[in-house]
Amino acid sequence: MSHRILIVGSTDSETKAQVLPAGCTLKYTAPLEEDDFIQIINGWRADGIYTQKQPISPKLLEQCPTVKAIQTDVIMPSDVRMAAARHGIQILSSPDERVICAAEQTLALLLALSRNLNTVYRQAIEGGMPYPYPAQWRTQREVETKQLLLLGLGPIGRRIVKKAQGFSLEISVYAPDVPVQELERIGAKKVEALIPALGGADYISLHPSDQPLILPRIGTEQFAAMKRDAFFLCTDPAVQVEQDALVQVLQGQRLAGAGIMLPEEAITPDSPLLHMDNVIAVPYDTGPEPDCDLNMQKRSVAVLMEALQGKPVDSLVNERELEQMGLLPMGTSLKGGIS
Amino acid sequence: MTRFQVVLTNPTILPEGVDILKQEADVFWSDGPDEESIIRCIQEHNAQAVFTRVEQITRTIFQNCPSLKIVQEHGIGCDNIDLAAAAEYGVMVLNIPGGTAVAVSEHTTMMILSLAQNLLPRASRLRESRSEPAEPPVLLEGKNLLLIGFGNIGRRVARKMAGLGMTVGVYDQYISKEVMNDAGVSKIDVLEEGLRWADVVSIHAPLNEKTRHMIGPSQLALMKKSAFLVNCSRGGLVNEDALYQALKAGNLAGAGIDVFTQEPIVPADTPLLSLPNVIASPHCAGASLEGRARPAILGAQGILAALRGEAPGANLVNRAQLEAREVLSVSKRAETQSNAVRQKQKKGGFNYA
Repeated sequence: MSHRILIVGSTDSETKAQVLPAGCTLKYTAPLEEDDFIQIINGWRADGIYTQKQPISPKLLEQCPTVKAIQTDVIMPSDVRMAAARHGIQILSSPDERVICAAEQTLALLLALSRNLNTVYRQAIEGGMPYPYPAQWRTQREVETKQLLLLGLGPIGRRIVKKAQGFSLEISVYAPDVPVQELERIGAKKVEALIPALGGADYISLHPSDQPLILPRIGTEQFAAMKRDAFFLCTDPAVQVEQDALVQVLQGQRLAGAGIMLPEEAITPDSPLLHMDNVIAVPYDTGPEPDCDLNMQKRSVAVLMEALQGKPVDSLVNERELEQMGLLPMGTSLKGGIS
Repeated sequence: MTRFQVVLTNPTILPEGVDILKQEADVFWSDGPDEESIIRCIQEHNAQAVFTRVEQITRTIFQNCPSLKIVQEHGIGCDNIDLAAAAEYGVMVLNIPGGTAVAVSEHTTMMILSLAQNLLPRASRLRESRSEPAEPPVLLEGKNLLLIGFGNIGRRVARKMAGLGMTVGVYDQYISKEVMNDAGVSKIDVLEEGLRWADVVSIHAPLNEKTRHMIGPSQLALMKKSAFLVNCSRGGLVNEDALYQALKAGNLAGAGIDVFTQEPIVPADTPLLSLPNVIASPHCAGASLEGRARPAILGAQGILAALRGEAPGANLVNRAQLEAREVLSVSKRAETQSNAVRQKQKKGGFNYA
């Protein structure tokens, strides 16, 4: 089924997507008075709307029966959220760029460690490495079919699950606060016990939710449970990792490597973590470079498409109201997707 | 049973493959990688097959070695082999399609993500406690990726990057729009248009006279200033001087380069390596612990199957030239083609049966 998404904003050709997501037609319009807006929606039978500033009112929701999902940066008052829920309409916020950036950073670290980036970069710039690349140096790891264990499942973790699907990783999640059905829907497997799960994983990455933290502090006992050839990843500066314990397992070659992001004040310049080939440590930054309208629009349309296709999305604003209307199963906590 | 005679031109071909060869063949190593040593070794042992890696297999070798029937390349790129001369002398050239595809595609995606995240300069800033901030990361989700070439590696890169949320367009004259649409990517008919459109360009093409320097000054000039270029295919595909100038002048945001015109790399002769917005590696994209012995094993199996008279499939590189010269018999041609179809259907299979 083809979805029809109305984009309200600039109609310059530069902000129009040249390659559309499959199964979708886009129409562009400048911001309009409410009645004209309703007329355009109904005339074109739009089922998705993307807007940064166009107001959405209960009247519009009432009079546009084809609309199933709206993505907007406008803050929605509770009566509008409820009105949308009454009509089965999902209200979505724009994807959070910091979340996307942290998820991409985690995957960058995972791959860079697997491919021995520090070492191969040094070999290249120093020269002297024979060609063909000698067999004894071929210690890079393939990621495909390996086990990625996420500890916790906050917004960044959810984004990683989604982004990692193309890498053929087997993803499992230790998150006592997330139901098994929800994990299955997003393509991950639930693990119940932490220590055995640590022992089976090739990559361990920490992504607690904003719920009260159920994860233990990651220290000696947890590192000892990990495989010798596992990689440890932590891109959440709020997570407490015992740096001394991490240094010990890395120096003792009881862990293959680590990728960490942390505030500069959380590490001293003489920390061994900053000088090991199998560690990539990057500073916690303020976020990604601001993106252009077209790219923001493309990301938003992709999420709208997922919502229209009944897939779970992590930017649902009127989740509670949809639950109250019985359109989301109660107690799924988050982002189950609407059929 | 008569044993086959096989010459290896490179000492780094791993024992896992050599052991397979030794089950049915006597194996000899040429004294050196040069033409003369290779010819001497083939002639001395009347060898029917050569297993080569990066050594040049030239017209002179084919001219002087009438016993030679098979040349097996250790990887996918056969730019070191004179394919036309091989066909002229009735020699089948085999490669290993897909043998390193997992590793190369992961190395490529690593380079793209590391460039976007500005990983090395940010790590270096933390290590050196520098006060000036490094360039912030840029997001890949929602951006455009142009793949030049859509073989085993290109397809894997497409799948990974589409999963990351990139829009993938492909320039490959030999793959139909329908095949690309089935793979969830868009066909780009004109390279120049693709270069203007892309935020990231990644090359996955063979090196030959048509593709040499396919990315030069005029192509680089079309790319966005914010774009990244990644090359994990062959060094000669990109004009390195032009790339250096574009990066240095800020006309391109960064590059990830695994392959160089001159290999082994000589840093003094490779100014690209001095740029902070370049991630480089010494032609090791195909290397992995898991796949270490894969090319040696698959290559050995390929040689023995061909020597036994089994029809090769998608691994026969000079099929068109052999057919044009009617070196492949009609029956063998039909068998070879149906084999190729079977192999395509059988994902990643290298079954010669």
